[in-house]
Amino acid sequence: MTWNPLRRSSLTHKPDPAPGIIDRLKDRELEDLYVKLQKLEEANKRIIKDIKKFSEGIQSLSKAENKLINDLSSSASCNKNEKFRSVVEEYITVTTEMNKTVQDTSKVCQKTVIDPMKKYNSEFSNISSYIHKRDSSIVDVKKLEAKLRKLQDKEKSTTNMAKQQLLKKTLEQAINEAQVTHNKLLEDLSVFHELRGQYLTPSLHSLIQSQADYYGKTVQLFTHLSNMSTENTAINTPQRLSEKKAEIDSKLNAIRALAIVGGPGGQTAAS
Amino acid sequence: MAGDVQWWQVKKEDGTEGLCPSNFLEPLNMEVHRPRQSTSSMAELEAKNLSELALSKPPVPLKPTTSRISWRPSPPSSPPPSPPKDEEDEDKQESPPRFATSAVVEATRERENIVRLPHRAPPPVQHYRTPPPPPVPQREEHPDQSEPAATASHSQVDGHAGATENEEDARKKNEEQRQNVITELVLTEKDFGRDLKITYETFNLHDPKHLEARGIDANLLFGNILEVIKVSESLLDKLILAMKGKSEDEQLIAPCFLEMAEEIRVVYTNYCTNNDNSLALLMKYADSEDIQKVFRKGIETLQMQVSCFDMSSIIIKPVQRIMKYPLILNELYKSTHEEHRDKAGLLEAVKIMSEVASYINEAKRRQDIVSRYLGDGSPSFSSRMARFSFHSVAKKSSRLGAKLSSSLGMSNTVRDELFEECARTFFSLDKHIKNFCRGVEIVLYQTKEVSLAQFHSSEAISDFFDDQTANNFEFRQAQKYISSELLTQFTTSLQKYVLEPLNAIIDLAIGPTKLIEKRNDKLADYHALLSKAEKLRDARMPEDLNLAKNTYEALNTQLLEELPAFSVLAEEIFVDCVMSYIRSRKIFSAKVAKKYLYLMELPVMAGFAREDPVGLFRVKHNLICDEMNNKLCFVSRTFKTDNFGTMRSTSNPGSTKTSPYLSVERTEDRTQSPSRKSFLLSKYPLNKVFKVTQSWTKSEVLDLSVQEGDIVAVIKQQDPMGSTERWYVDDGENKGFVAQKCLQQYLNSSPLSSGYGDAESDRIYEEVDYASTDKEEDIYEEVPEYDFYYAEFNFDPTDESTLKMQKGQVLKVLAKNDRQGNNEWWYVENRDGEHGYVPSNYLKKYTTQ
Repeated sequence: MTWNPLRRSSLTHKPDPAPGIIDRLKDRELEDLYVKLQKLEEANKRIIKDIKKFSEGIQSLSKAENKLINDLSSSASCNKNEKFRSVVEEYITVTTEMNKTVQDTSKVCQKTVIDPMKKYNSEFSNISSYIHKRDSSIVDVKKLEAKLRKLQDKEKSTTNMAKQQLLKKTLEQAINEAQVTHNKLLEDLSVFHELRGQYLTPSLHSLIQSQADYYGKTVQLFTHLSNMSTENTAINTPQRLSEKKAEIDSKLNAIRALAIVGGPGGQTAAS
Repeated sequence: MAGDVQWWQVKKEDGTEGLCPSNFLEPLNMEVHRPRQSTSSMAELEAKNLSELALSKPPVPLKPTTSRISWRPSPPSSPPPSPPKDEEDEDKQESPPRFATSAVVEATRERENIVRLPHRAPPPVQHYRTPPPPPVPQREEHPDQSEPAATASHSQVDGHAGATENEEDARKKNEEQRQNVITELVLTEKDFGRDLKITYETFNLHDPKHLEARGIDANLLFGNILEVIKVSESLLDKLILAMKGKSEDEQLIAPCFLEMAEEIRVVYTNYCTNNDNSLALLMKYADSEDIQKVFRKGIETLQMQVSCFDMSSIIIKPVQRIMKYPLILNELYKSTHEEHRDKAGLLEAVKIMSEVASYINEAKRRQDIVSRYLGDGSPSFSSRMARFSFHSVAKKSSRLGAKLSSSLGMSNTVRDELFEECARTFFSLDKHIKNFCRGVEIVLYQTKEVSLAQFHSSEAISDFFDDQTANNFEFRQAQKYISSELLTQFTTSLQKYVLEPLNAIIDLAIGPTKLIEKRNDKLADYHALLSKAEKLRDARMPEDLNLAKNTYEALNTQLLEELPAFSVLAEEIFVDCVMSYIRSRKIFSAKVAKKYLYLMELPVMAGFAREDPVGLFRVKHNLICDEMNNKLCFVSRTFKTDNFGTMRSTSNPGSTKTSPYLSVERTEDRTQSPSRKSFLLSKYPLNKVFKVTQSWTKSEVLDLSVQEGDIVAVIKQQDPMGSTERWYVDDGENKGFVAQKCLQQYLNSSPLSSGYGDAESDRIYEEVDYASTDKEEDIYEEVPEYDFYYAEFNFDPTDESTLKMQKGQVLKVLAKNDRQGNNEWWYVENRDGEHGYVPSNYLKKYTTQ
């Protein structure tokens, strides 16, 4: 439970069981439904949280990438090495273009997933008060029952009997009302629960669409850059990869052979 | 025949001649003379000669004892007799080392395994201080050697030559000497090359795997022995070529060396600097029984053919060889006649080979210094404290002072531009590699976060659906695949091709960094000492100063030599790694995108238009909201108005501009082209096609502007809020809402009966093909007509729907009323494409006059 009212779950009070007032099966049904709704609320919150995380994630990813490429482009070797520079420049183009895509994607996520889900979330407090309303009607019944019992315990005067009659009538009415409220609640809640899929589906589709756009755009940007694509598709086979690795290893060994690096002689002396 | 180099035959100026211990003599004009060289060469010679002596045939009669009397070695305690000081005759005084004839060499080889088993190690230097023990083995004398010098290659000193003082004789003697030396050179070179080759073969160095299997680092142990063999071979070839079929006067030895000098320098430097490492390695291997077994076996095989007694004596051979070249060449130079064509070249060759030798020496020394400073790698705190002495404090403070004064430009510090450039490149590279690594790690981390968020959201969504429909099953599967499989691939490829090599470079850069620091420290030391010396007006160079200078220069040269190589290699790797990173990044995105493409092709996604997911979402979303609103009594009023609010906020011009998704419904006032009309008619059933009876300008984001007379197809006869006043229509290019009152059935043009059932319109809604071809280009586009006004006053926006304008700014008026029909607010567009309401009384008609 958090202090943030937006984060706090609305469904914290189970509907009070009302044996004798409401049919046990129906009472049970409500209870089950309530548990389901609680789960739903929790899942809803998680969707909001995770999509937010996703949207923030792609933004920080793009920031990290921007920083990376800026560091690269400011390096001296980037300025001297022609091939390196062209690669870095193309990568810069990718990242700048990506910024836009990322903004769009997060915006779409916000509009089509987070906002609707938040709205959905707010409904749970309505449900909660609805349940509360039903609970209070049950409480009313119980109060009346207690009052009736008290009257029945008293000596049987006519006024008392009359009062009892009146009270019984009110009680009946109250029970009826409570039952109606309960049934309506049950119905509404199950409809609400049933509709959850329909409610989420557009958001889900839009989410898939926007994520597909995000990744698709990324690939497209990478592919469109001539230099990198030709260079990279050429070395995509496992064989070329291992060759590349061997090349790098041999260069590393060449570095290790330099005296200033402190080759094996230096190491043995140290050990 | 064979001579003992420890005993040289000499002649004094008074004409007496005899043997004397060679170590009592010193050549007077040797240019290069280092104890190290002489010992090694002598040791080798001695070894050779000893074995040869043992083999030699029964000697010719003994020399007269008198010839030895004058130089009989003195007892060890007595001071050594001073060497003869004769200057005019020094050439004759020292005899060259003697060498066996080839015949003897052959004989030696036949029996050497018998003879050489008790092989003698090269005697230590101090051995020479005590004279060799008499009696010296019998030696033979060839007082009148008359065979041609080429065959009689053993050394000899003609006893009569000096006595007669005949120039002709001297010349002849010199020529013979020259031939001897050349023969020696060739033979020893041959032997040397053969020894190395045999070593190479014995240890199977062409395939070092079986050595490595036993834990022997063959590459390090034998260094570039193959290159040494090759150099030796080509030198030998050159020498033989220079001699073959040429008269003695034509034989030019010097050019062989001059041509080979550079190659020799590189190859031998490499070998010699490695030598220390291999010796250290041998020491390390001494403990391992397994390795020793391999060595012993190899040596046993070797000893059949080569004179050696342990591994180090094999490994040292090239080092000994390179130090011998200057000696032999010097010998050759001296025995070459002034007029010989080779003379000048030989002088040069001697110089160059001496330079090579000293270069190698210098390189070794530098490497010693370098490895010394690298050696104290990461000292523990206690060892640091132990070294924390007054001396070190003084040193450090003086360095600090020197640095300070040099940075203030007060001292005479010489700036080594070249070095600083190297160091700068190195440091910048190092820094950027580190930055890049960190960046890649962050990107990797963020990618992981994103994938995980995706995966978690898919989990949450499936929890949300609970068991309802398998709608998101594929989505979840895809996310699972992405966050486990693809992400792992991405991570490993980044680790393997990017981070690992780069981190290796970062580790390797520690050594040079330390050396650069050390070099700067040493420079500061040197300058401090220099300025001190200047102050004291000390004429002599103090020891300290020299030492500091040497150390500094050694470090500086070594760094200058290797730092650029380091930088170049590191940069190449760096560039490769950057490429690999970009490649990995691309491949990862491509794989994820492929997964998403698969998702998009699922039937549930079929209706999704690629162009405007937000708009479509909104429509669908509003539908379900309506449904919930209608069916549920508890759903709050805000459920819908909320949404309305969000829609309003998107009409904010700024966001409209930046988002390509939202800009789809950008207002374009223009008349419809005939092609679009026919397109609509062909696409939609006729009863869906309507004619616009009066122009309608958009006032909401999702609205569509239409001109009177345009043709539109009605997709749905209500707006998202369920109101039937505005319909969702398609004008062939864009879709949007248009007021119902502007539309009229196209075919019969009869007023529309509003009796269209909701059920039917729902059905229509369903069957709409959203993927309709919006891409069709309209080439017949006509010039639009606009109403232009300019602002008479500045206007600041009061809320989101109004537009800021400045006095004098020209605006395009899109509608002369607002949505409620209030004509005090006009809907305008500025030159930046931003839309909004402005008060109409602020505007004035713009006329071209």
